[in-house]
Amino acid sequence: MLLSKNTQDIQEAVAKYCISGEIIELPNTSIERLSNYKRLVNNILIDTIESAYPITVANIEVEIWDILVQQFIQNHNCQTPIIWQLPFEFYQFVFENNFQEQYQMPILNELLYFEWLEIEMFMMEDIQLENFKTDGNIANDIIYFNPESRIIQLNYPLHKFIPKEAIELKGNYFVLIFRELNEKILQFVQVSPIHVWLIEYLQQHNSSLSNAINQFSIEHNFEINEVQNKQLILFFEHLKSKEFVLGFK
Amino acid sequence: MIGIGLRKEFAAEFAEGNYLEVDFVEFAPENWMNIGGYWKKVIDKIASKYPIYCHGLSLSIGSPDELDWDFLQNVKSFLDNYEVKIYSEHLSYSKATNAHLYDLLPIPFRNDAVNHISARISQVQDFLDRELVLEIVSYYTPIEAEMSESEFINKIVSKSGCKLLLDVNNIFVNSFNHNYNPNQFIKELPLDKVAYIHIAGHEQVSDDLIIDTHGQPIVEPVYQLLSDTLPQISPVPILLERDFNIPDANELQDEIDKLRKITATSPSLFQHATF
Repeated sequence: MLLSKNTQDIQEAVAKYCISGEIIELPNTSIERLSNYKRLVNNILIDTIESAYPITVANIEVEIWDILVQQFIQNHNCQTPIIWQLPFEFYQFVFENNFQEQYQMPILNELLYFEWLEIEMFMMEDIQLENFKTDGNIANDIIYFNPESRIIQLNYPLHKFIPKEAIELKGNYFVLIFRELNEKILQFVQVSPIHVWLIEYLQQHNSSLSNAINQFSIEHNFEINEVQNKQLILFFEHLKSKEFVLGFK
Repeated sequence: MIGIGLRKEFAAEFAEGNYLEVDFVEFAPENWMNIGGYWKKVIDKIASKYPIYCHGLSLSIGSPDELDWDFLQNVKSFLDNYEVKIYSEHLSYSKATNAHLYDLLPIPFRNDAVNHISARISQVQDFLDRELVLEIVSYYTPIEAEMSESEFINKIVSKSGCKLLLDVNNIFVNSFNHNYNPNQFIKELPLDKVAYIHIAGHEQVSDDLIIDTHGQPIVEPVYQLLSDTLPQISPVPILLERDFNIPDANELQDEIDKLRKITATSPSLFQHATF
């Protein structure tokens, strides 16, 4: 490297000062003026994280939030050059350091994860659609799903309730999240385990819904009666009206 | 040509086409690359109507850390995809000790830094297959300098072959903060290498310090500095930056119109501007 060790050390000391505030002495350099960079770097990091997690910020004690953010700033080397992706690193940092247990906030990790997922899915790159037709039979034709989707599992129903209420409803929740094809806004649909199984099966196999339901019965040794069968078909009709089912292959 | 720095605060309205009368749009690739969905639709619409210029944030050309080639590959794809006319960045560093800081730290004005940065500029220019246009940044203190700021800039431009982005507000801010004459400073620069101009507002926070906020209207002395500078350089595009406290469109348009008026006072230089 053409940079001398001395210049490298100076640059690194300045950068570390901006993060840690650890006083440095540099000849011909105004530390008082340098403090503006420390303030600006801190403001940028704090604003970026806070704006990504408004629900968490509103539901956590200010002192604890400040500790989490400061711990992150002081101890984490920010890796992404894309600043809107930085909140994901904050979520990872909180998760890996188990602050959830330390501050006895059982919902913390999931809340951060849920808020980050909203950003990630809203911003994710477009996925090229395959050819599909809009008319078809929901039970007997091969369904084509919106590819910009994900199914997640939650312990708290954060997709339906504010955190204070969700924390009282610990359970096992599955949420289908997809980005609308035209408006590009996110939709959240609570689904049951059998819905999850069927959606994932249909995404992986060229199968009709009726065949998938039969397959479910066989694999789980669970008989699905006519009423249940009808309800499942109605649910997929509902997913078509919500435009998660885009059409048919 | 007068352009505007795109902000998400008004991007959707701007995309409709009647928000501001400008000749081009500039944005940071870091805020718009590798995305899809709503914002991709907005940016595609804007790119279909206006020439696009990009002003990067995370290259960190002055960093002691290695260049991030994966990042640069993404930048290259983005610039190619949107047929970006100019890719500018900052003559500063924003990453060190393997950590991004997301702010523009001042580089020590030293010979070894000149050599280090010039080599990196050449690498980046070769990789991107385009000229890099580097902005002279505002700074609040020199860091263990061994030469003057203008000497530092001249050496880098001469050694690397890069172009300059002259941010007249930065020059004004620096001249105030470090007590020098901004016109004299500009005269000392390699003005034939100026490819682009930025202009913005700032905030004076104490008797001897101005912070380069991009959050206020352009002040009269900065307009004057622009007027004084234009006759000394070839015609280049001028960009209005307004990143905070964004006013309504009329106020921004007034500033853009004023910039047009100033450029019109140098007709012999500007009438052939083609970019």
